[in-house]
Amino acid sequence: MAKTDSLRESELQVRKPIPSKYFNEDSSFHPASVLISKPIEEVWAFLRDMTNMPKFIRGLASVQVLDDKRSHWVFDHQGQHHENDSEIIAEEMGSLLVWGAVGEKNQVGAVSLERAPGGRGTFVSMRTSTDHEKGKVTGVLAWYFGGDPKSASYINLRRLKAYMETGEVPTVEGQPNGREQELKH
Amino acid sequence: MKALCWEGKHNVKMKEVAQPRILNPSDAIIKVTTAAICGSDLHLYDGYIPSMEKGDILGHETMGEIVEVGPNVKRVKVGDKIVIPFDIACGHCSHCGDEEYSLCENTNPNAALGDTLYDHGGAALFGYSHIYGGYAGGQAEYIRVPHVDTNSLVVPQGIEDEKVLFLSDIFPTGYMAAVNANIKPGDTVAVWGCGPVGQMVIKSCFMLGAERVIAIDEYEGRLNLARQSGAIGINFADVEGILDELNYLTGGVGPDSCIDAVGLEAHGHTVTATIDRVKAAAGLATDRPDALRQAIQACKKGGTVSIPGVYGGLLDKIPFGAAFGKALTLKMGQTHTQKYMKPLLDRIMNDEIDPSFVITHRVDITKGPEMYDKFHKQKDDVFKVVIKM
Repeated sequence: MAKTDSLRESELQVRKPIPSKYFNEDSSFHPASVLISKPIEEVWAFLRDMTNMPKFIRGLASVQVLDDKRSHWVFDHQGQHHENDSEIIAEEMGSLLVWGAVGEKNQVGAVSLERAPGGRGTFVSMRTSTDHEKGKVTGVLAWYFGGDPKSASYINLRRLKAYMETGEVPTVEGQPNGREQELKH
Repeated sequence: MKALCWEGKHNVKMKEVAQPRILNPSDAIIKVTTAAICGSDLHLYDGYIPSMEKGDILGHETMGEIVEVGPNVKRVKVGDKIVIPFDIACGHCSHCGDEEYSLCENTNPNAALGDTLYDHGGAALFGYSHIYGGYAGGQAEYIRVPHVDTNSLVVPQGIEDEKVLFLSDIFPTGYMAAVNANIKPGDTVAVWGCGPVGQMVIKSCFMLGAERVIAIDEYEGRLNLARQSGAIGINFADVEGILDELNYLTGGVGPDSCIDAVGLEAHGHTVTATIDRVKAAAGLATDRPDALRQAIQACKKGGTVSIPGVYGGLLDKIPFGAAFGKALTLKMGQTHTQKYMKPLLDRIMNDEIDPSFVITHRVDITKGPEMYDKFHKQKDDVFKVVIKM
């Protein structure tokens, strides 16, 4: 991100509310928020590169960038598969990013960023929603949007924080336990 | 590999399970040489900690040899002998930066669940329920250690396991409790609970300048061990009132610091203790905080209450008015083990302490389930069990 002038800097110190106009009424939740101990420029650059999304969004296997606004998303989790194209709907450099599935009007995700006081990093808020008119989202997309979008957003934000701060997302999937033994019998 | 698995309340089994493998780039796999059963494992055994699942591998006091490391591991290497702290820290977040390792933000895959309970959950723990991350524990032949560069203390080759094993938990826990007690030279410190942590607390209080340590328990064997460390032992079953006794010993002033090394399963004989047991049995309360009540009531005006004993939920009838009225300082929390491991290893190497004095039983892993049962029933004077792999 280019060096910010004083006006830009003051904008980065106020977190913009994620505009409700991109979301359906059912998703009028207070967004989930985390503090990431990294500079806002680094967090923005990471999030603006859609190929980074699979590094922290649960169930998202890969993202292929098609052009500056559009990308192809592949969800794959526990044998379930879903693909769609996503496009950036709104963008304010360094502070707001809204994206949504092409042709799925209400499958929307958004993040807003703010430089935290005291040099402590970046506040990141996230909000996601899906098209409730089509009924409850199920299967692999539920990991992303969730039956409860705020919980899903919070889980994905915690994963984003862990990835950005430590280079990995914590997991216990694949570790041994005394249950497998019984499944085999 | 063989592992001790939690199968339900009062049910631990040794099972044959898959070997752990590297799951993240900062992981290591450790071949366990020695592990221990902790008093806090009894909280799991007794079903006091929610979100355990049948088949979970127990154990958080573990040491062994590194046999495999992930590509991001920089500080330790295959062949190193390490002690593993019971709490899992990332080494990168703001809390780790402040050496508050047990408050780490990035190691619990179920952080959202932990936050539901406490609003802001702490570090993951080995072998200690899914709210704390669901990590497989170390009462097993092998264990996977995430962020091993942060979660390990390399110990000198050739040193006996038993001398350094308790750097994984009870020695740093006892030491941090003494640090939290704000001990000044000449102070009198009262310690509730003479279990293995309590014994480490007593040693640590003397290390930090306490002149008199008063140890409170109901088991004579434990009190005798405390007396051997220089403490005055009081059997609360033998005295009319522990507060009267403490006032007598301190000339009516109260101990400068009070340390609750008991936690959520206190075995008091007072009226409140009996009510606590009934309430816990009926599901009306989660914790039985009688030791904490006494510690707050006994403490000197302006004194400090330090709480290494584990609490998990909602506490009833805490004399908060007394705490306020006496302007007490309360300090508590899971141990920032990684902060204390190295300085305490130095104290062991300087022969200031040999923490193995608490060990009463040495067994192989096949005897694990039997030792849990005996520990729970306080049979055969089971005090501290060490499992040799």
